[in-house]
Amino acid sequence: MEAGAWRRQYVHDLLFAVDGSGWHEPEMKESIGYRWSGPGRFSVLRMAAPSGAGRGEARLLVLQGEAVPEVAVFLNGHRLAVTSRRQGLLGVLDFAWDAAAMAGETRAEFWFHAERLAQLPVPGGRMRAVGFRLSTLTLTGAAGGPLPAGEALALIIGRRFLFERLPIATGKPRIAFRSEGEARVLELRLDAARLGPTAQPQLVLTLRAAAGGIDLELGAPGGAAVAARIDPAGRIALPTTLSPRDGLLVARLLATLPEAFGRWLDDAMAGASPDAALLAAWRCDLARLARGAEAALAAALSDGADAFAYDAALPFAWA
Amino acid sequence: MRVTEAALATSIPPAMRRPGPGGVEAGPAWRAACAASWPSSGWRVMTVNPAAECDRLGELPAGIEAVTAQPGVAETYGRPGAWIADALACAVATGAPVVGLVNADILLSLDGGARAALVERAAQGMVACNRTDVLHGHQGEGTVYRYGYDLVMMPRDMAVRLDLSGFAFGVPWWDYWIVLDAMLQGLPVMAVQCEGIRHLSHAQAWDRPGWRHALGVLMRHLAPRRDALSRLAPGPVAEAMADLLLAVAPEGESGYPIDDLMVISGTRFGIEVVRMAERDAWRLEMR
Repeated sequence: MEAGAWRRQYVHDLLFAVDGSGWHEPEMKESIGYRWSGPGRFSVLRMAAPSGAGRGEARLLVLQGEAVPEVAVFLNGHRLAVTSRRQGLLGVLDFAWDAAAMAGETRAEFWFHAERLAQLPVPGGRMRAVGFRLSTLTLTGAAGGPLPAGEALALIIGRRFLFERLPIATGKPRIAFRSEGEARVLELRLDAARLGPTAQPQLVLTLRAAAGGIDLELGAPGGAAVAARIDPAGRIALPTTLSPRDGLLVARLLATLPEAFGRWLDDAMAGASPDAALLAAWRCDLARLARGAEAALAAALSDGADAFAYDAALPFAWA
Repeated sequence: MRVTEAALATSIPPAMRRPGPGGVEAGPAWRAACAASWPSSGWRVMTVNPAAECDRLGELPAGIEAVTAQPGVAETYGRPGAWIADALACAVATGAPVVGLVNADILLSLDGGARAALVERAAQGMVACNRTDVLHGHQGEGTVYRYGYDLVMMPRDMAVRLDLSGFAFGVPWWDYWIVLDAMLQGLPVMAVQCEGIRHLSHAQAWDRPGWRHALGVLMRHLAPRRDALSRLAPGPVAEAMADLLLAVAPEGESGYPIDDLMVISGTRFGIEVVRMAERDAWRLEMR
């Protein structure tokens, strides 16, 4: 064999705690640790990942007489092509992704959509729905190891600035999907949110995705709302009806929507059999929206009015 | 004259049994293929065996030296073999800048580039390599076995700082302790997967008394350095497992349900060691 390069790897062993949802308690069989997916078809696993393009290997425990399960795999909403192979008691799902799947993402959010569920007894006796046994997920970067982190002081100052000067909270998300003609519509309700110092008992964000881009409306139920548009290139203009400071707060809120979507998935997908393609389309749209909002926020903080001049204690106002 | 870049020590058993396709006995051929795969330009290899085994090793490939092992393994573990510390000391004594240990059933399918890559990294810190399991010798892709390190290489001056006394080839735990010992001393450790480090799959013959004894050895090494384990921030479960094992393993406590507790907590502790090592995980690509 001819040697290639060193590649950084990230390994998640399902015997340990999971950041995600749709997994039963860890078990061990034949010296292989694993968790059953379930009780729904849809399972989420978040983990550190190499930046940029990479490839992954999901190792499944597959007992004698069983076929390697059919599992669709998504990364940050992008459907990945999967090839499977078998080695003894392991089924191995191999997949890869391009840089776009990790663009703007700090962690990898994997979705696993099991083709079939089965009812199997728990060791205690009751029945439960299970999909497949995931043992480990290993991610390998396409490039070499990470470069040494730089600009640490700027990062620390920047985080403190955002935390103290532009604080936001998305609260508890609830999501509904519908269609209007050719457009896909997502209605996101955020309970107990916060924009700056002002509590927002309920916020409603409506996204309409069509060929020409995504239109969004954000406001309190029955109150004033702000509108914005994300063009097909992912650019977004901050609402001009708000004060500059409040526009930045809205951009901050929009930039956190993929994380809120992930929390909603963890709550709502337990035992569900969702339309994974629809979820994937919206996950990608929310990532594009978040990147656009971050870009607008960065441009405003870099070249706009002095962000330290704003009074951070002023209540948020919709108009 | 070619300078020795790396010195590897192992302990080749006089006989090896491995199931091959169709029930064919593949052990002798695999044993020979493994031994033939280790020596290379700049790599010096020695097999450390009890005196009684040396005459039964048969003809060794060129580049492998037989060294008589220190006694005591059979008395401790009930089977003949070589001490890990003895073998590593033999490798250190060569004066090679990089030294290491390899299990005898590992075949190194590595070209000069891969060997150079391993030596280059092992000159900077410990390189603990998982094996890739294959079902037969000609299989292309295999699957990595994460819960063990079958080839471990490191700088010579790191090797002399490790205390591997009490561990033997063919008995579990030495590979976990060697990485944990280094990490406890703040020495760099990287966990490596590589398709070229190959192992013919076989059923594991679990020697429970040997497993327990070697776990006790590990805990006796760990006991005086318990604080150093906390500094690695392994997490509350790992620390709790260590404390439980430190209470029962070193002195061989018995009574219900100590044996089961040791198996469960020892298994979890071992997996925690793997997790700590995989904080710096790498793959050496083979094309």
